Amino acid sequence: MRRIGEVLREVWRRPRGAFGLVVVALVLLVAAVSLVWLPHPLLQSNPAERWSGPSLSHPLGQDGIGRDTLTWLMVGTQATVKVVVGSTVVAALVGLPLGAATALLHARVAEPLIVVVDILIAFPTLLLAMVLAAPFGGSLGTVILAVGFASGITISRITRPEIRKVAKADYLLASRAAGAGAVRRLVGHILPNVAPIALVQLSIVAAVSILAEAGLTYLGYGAPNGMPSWGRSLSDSQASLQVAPLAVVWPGLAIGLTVLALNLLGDALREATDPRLRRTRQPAAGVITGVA
Amino acid sequence: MTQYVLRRVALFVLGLVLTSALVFALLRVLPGDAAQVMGGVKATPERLDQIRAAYGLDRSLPAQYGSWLAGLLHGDLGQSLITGVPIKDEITQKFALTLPLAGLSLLFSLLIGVPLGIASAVYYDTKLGGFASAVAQGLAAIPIVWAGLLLIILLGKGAGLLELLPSQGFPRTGWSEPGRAFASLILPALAVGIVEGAVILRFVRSALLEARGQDHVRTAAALGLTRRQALIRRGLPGAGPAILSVVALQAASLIVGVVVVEALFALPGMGSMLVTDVGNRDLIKVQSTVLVLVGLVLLIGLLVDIASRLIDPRQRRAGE
Repeated sequence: MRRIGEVLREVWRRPRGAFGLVVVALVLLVAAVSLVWLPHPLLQSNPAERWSGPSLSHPLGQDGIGRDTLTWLMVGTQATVKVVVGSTVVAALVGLPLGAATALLHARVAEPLIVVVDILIAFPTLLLAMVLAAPFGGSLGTVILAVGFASGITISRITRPEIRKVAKADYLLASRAAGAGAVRRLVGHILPNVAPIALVQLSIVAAVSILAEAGLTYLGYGAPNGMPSWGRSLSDSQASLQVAPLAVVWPGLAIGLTVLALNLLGDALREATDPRLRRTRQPAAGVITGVA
Repeated sequence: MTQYVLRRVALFVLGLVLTSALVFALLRVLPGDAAQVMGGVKATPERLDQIRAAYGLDRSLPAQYGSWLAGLLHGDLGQSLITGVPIKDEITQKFALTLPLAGLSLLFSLLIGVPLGIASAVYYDTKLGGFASAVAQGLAAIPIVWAGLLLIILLGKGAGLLELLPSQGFPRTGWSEPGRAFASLILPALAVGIVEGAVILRFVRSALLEARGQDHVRTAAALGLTRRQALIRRGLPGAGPAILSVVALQAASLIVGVVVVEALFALPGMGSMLVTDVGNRDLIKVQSTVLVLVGLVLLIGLLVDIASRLIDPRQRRAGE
């Protein structure tokens, strides 16, 4: 799709968009690097140096059993990437077909679906995660499924009006007259037109999923004990509150900065894709509200 | 209007029924065998049969769902599988902590979000406005757990730099010592309030910036008000319903925030109870508690929708 390339260039031109892209690229880079190189072995711990502050060999200090904080945060980036990719994919797989169904199907099918969507939208992500975790236990999968489904519902509601609008356009009628089948029309004409809106929403889903991982892991429904993740580092840092307050700062900073970058990226995407916003510079209000 | 209220209430009831079905289905159908889940992996077949018989799990799923619903209609939420205590009593007791905490969190988020949102829209073209909106962006990106931990480090007794407020637990005596009870809710409510407030700020700002270009606001400015006066006196009332609807939109994430800070600050409310129950696999209690919490969110949505109809003549006319 040529349009996506144009949008990205437009985003890059804005300071907020450039910041967002740079941070996202950095996170991906760190995740990739952590697969092949780490400052210290992941499981190496030195209990004698627990909660020690920053030093040359441990720039961010060491945690409660003397493991290197930077190493754990670097490996934790992998969990973040998994959660973000998983959540956005599930959200798109749930949201776009549901949006298309509520927009295009016969009213007798679509209207009950719309009512169901309107009701499910009130279901808090955290409670969904808890309900899933009650039988299955916590894992990154719980986070992905809960965030993905809850956000997918919201995406379906946001894309519905747009899909309806496109479906009524003349060129779609023309394409139908030319003999294009339903699938061809959906994938070839409707999807590319909805892509910009969906992209903005998915960047918000990405941000929400990172916050959700932190919140759910803290409550015990996310990354299990011993799995490196930013949420896990943040939860574990609570034990050091009195001894090493700095240990609380790092994981929160990593999460906050990445979420901020994704939010700004979402704003820039919105401006880049919606010409009406190019001058007014309105903030993209957090349409999907998350677990934190 | 009456017709609208009736329709909206019907939707609310439908929402409750749908939620109950969803929660029931997720908890019972997905894992396959609830008794196995409760008894654990090592339970013997006899023990499993015992569990099934004791809690009526040997009946068909529709029958179980039906009897749960029938109980709900009579205000009976069932009994805890672990302690046998009626769930309704326990929830009522936990509400004494959770409702004030949620209310205080909402109050803080509105106190932060609404005035700053208005200011950042009115002064949108100055450094101040830009600063306010940057701060909002930053705060909205913070995980609530982190906000809570940082507040403890800054203000908490025992761990904090300033040692101002209690940061762990709730007085055993509860509300019979109102001062202490209230003090222990301030930091958790502030943690939720700051993060939610940042989101509200952005909504308010966005609603007001939209009002800026509207005809009546521009007319007021043309007739002699300054642009800022026009925005505040003419634009703000019109943005009221939009701001009100934010509260409904944020209700779900407010409840989520409350659950998180209850765990973080060791407050024995609904959230902590739910966390424990999920850990204990107390399925019936989880199912009833989740329904009550989602019901609360749906109820807030219902009240906000009706209230915004009442204060917004445009919506009333559109419905008639």
